[in-house]
Amino acid sequence: MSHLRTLTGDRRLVDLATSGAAPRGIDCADLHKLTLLSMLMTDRDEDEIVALALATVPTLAPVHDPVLHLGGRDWRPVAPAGAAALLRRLANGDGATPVLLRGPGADGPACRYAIGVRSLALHLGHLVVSSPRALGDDELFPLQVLAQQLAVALDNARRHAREAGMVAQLEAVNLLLERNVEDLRRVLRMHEQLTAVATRGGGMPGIVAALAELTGRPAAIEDAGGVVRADCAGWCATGRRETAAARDRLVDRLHREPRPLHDRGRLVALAGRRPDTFALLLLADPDASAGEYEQLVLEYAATVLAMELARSDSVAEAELRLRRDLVEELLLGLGEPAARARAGPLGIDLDIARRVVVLSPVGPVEPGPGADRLLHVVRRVLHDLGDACLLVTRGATVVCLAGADIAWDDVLRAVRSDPAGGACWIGVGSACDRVPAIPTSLRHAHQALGLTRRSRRTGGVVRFDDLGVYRLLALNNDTAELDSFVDRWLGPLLEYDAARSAGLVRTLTSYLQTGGSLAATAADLTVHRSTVKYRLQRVRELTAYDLADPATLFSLQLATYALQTRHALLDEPPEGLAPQV
Amino acid sequence: MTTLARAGEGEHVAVLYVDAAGRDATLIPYLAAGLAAGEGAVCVTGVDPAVVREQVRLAEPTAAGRVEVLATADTYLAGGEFSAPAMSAWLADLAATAPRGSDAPRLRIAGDLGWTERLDDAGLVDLFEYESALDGFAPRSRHTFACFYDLTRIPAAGVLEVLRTHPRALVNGVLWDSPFYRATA
Repeated sequence: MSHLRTLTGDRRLVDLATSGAAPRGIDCADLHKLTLLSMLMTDRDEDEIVALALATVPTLAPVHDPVLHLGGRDWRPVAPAGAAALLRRLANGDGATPVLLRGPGADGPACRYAIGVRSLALHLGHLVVSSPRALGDDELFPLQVLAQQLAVALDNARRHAREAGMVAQLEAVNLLLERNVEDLRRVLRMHEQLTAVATRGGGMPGIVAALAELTGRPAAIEDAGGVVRADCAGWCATGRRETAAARDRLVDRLHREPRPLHDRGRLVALAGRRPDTFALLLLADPDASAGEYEQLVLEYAATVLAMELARSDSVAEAELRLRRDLVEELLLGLGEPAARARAGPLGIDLDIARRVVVLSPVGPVEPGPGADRLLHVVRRVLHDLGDACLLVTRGATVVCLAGADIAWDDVLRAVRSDPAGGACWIGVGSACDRVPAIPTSLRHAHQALGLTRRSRRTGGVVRFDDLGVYRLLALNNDTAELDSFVDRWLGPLLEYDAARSAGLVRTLTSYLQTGGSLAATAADLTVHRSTVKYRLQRVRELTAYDLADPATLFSLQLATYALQTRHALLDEPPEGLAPQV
Repeated sequence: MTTLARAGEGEHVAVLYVDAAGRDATLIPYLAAGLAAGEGAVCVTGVDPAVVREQVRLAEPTAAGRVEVLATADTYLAGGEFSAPAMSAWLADLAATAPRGSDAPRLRIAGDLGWTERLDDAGLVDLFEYESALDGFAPRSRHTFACFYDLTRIPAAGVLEVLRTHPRALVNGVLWDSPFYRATA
C-alpha cells in the first residue's frame, strides 16, 4: 500500500483499499463518477480523453474554468492569462502535492490551484482550476484522483497512438518490401528467361518470344538494313514507313545514349556496335506507357541479342575459315581422310561430281579486295543457282569447287551484270568425282583459263573438256618437250618475228587453222591477201618448208598448237597469237 | 439474461457503445428477451429493418414477426432533421398506452442514436431536452426505454449530458446508476 501513499500523499485511498469503506470526506458518488469516467476514457484518443476529463472536473469540486497543461506550450483548451508566470511557480514543485497558485487576498476569496497530472511512472503536466474560495484537502482529493486517471488514460492513448504509428509504418514497410520482392522476382524471372534463351541458343526468335512474354507486348528484331528478322505476339510495323535518313538518325542517337529510346510508338534498343552487324530490338509502346521494368527487360534482351550477334559472327567467321582451309586442302591434294574430317561437320558432301573452276577479272585488279569482291559476287550467283560451292581467292583469281553441271556461260553473264562484278575469264576444269582428282581438275582449269585469256579479250568461258588437242598437249605440265618441238619447227620464224615484229608465226597459224585459205586467213588477220602471200613466202624462205606437204603441214600445225599451249601453261603474253577455241 | 434485458418497467437507460457489433450485442438480446417474455418490442434504427428482424428471429425464433422496426428517417429524423417536440410527443403517446400498474402490454423500446454526429451545439441542446422530457414520463409507463449512443459520434460534453439525463447507464457491460444524473424536475 505504500505506493498509494506515495501517489496521493494521503492515507484516504489506503483506508479505502483496506477497509472497503469510503473514508470521511470522500463522496461515493464522486468515486462512481471517477470510475465511470475511467471506463469512458478507455480506448479513446487524447483529445477525447482531455475533453471528458475537463467536462467532469466541475462535477467533482466547486471549481470552474479548468485548464490543462501538458508540457511546453500545450494548454487545453487555451493558455490562461499569466501562463508563463504560472509555469515558473510550478517548476520547483514535486508534482504530487496540489499547489495553491493564488490564495484569498486583497482581491477577494477566489483561489487557483494546480494539481499534478501524473502516474507512477511519469509526470505529464498540471490541471489548473479556479475556485470562488479556498478548498480543503477533501475537496481537492477527487480532483487529484481524476488527474491521476487522466495521466494513465493519456499515457495509454499515447502508447496506442505510437503503436498504431509503428504498425502503420511497419505496414508501409511491408508493402514496400512486398513490392520490392515482387520487383526482384520479376527481374529474376527476366534474367532466368533471357539467360535460358542465350544458353539454349534460342536465337532471335527465342529472344523476341521471351521479350513478348515478359512484357506482354508485341516485339520484333530488325537487322542493320531495317529488315524484320523475327517478331512475336502480333507485331505489326507502325504505319508510316521510316526513311533511311530517319533510321540513320535513330541509330546514331542509340549509339550516343545508353538507354532505350521511344520512337514512333516503339521502345527501341540497340544490340551490337559494329556498323555492319548490329540489330534493333523493338517493343510495341503506342501509348508510351512502358515503364522502368519494360526498359530493363529490353536492355537485358539487347545484351543477349548482342551476344547472339557476336556468336553468329564468330561462328560464321569460323565456318568461313574452315571452308577455306578445306578447299585449300582439296586443291592441294593433301590427304583425303583429313579433308573428309573437315567436310563432315560443315555438311559438305565430297562424293558428288564437281569441277574446279578458276575465274579471273578482265583488266588490272588489286589482288586482295578485287578478288574478294569477285568472290562474293560469284558466291551469290552460284547460291542463286542452288549450288553450295566452295571458294577461295588466290591472288587476283577466284578458285571455285562447284557442281559439275553448272552452266558457266550463265554464271559469266550474271557476274558481268552484277554491279560489283564485271567481265572476267573463266577456266572450267575437268569433272572429278573423287577427292584425289581435284588437283588435276585445278590444273586443267588453269590451263583452260590461260587459253581463255588468249582468245577472249573481253572475257569468256573456256572448258578444258572442249580444248580438243590442247588437252593432249597440256596433259604434261612440263614444257621442255614442247619447247623443243616448237623450236624445231618454228624457231627461225619466232626469231624473225621477235626481231622485226613480222607476224609470221601468227600468219602461219591462222593459215593452218583455216585449212590453207588465203581469204580466210586475210580476214582473220584483217590484212590483204597479198600480205598473207608475202608472209607465207617469207616463211618458205626462212624455213625451206614445203607448205604443200601434208606431213609438214601437220607438224607445223602441231607446233603452233604446242606454242599456244606453252604460252597458256607459262602464262606468257600471246605474241600476236590468237588461238581459235 | 443480459444486464439490459433485466431492466424493469419504466426504466430509462443509456447504452454507450463504440461499434455496431457492440451495439447489436446488447440491442438484440434486449429485444429478444422482451419477446420471449411475451412482451412487445419496438426498435428505431438506421440499420435495414429486415436485418434487425432477422437478427431478432435468430436470437428468439418464437418471436418471428413480432418486433416492430422503424427507420430513423421516419422517426428521429422525420422531415430531414431532429424535432425534440415531435419525438417527445410520439414517445409520450406510446408511454401512455401502458400506464404503470395497468395490465396493458409492456414494450421493450430501443432507440439507436448513432446519427447524433450531425447535430450542432443547438441540436445537442434539443436532443438532451428531449431526453429530459423522456426521463419525465418514462417512470409512469410500463415500457422500458433504452437509448443507444455511439461514443465515437458524440462529443465529450455530450457524453456527460447523456449520463446526466439517464438515471442508469450501461457502459462496457456494467449497468451503472449514473453518478452524473440530475432528475427532471
